Amino acid sequence: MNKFEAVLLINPDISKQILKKEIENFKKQISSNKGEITNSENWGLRDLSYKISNFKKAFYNFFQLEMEGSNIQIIRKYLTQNDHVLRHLFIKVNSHQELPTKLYNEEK
Amino acid sequence: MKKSRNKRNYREEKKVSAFEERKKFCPFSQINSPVIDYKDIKLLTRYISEKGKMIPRRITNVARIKQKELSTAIKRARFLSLLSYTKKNY
Repeated sequence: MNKFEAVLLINPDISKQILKKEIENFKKQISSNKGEITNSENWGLRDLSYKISNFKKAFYNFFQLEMEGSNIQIIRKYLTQNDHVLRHLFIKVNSHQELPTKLYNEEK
Repeated sequence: MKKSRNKRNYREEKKVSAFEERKKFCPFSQINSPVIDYKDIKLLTRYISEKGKMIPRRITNVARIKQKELSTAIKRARFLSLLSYTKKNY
């Protein structure tokens, strides 16, 4: 088991219900692949600094995970085939940071 | 005689002048220095030029290992579109 961080950029044109569903589906995918979500944070609708597939804004979601690294490829495949997810990033970390993150703090 | 005088003048000027050589230190390898993170945009923008390029470490005095961490952090932030590759208005 290793510790990971994940960030998802989700389509801004989606309704709130579908957004919730997307995040729940992502959590289900992780739990079905023997992973755990220890913490999560919603950064909300943010301006992009350049266009991604003609969108100027996106919903940012941040997760702290614990799972085996070999299973992440399955989740990546699921995310790339998903049309609502614009971009995703997985990063391995030695230890999880304390929440809230600095990006979230500055907005407030 | 002339040469020695010039040298002395040069030394005295150096002490007084504003461009005096200070001791260089890395801003990330001190005791209370901040942790490099791709989510901390305020910190990363200090090490980026007006056009959005990374500033070389010979100007910012960042240590070699820390500069490598910085560059990965900046590249991650660019990928997530928190920072821009080229600061142009679209």
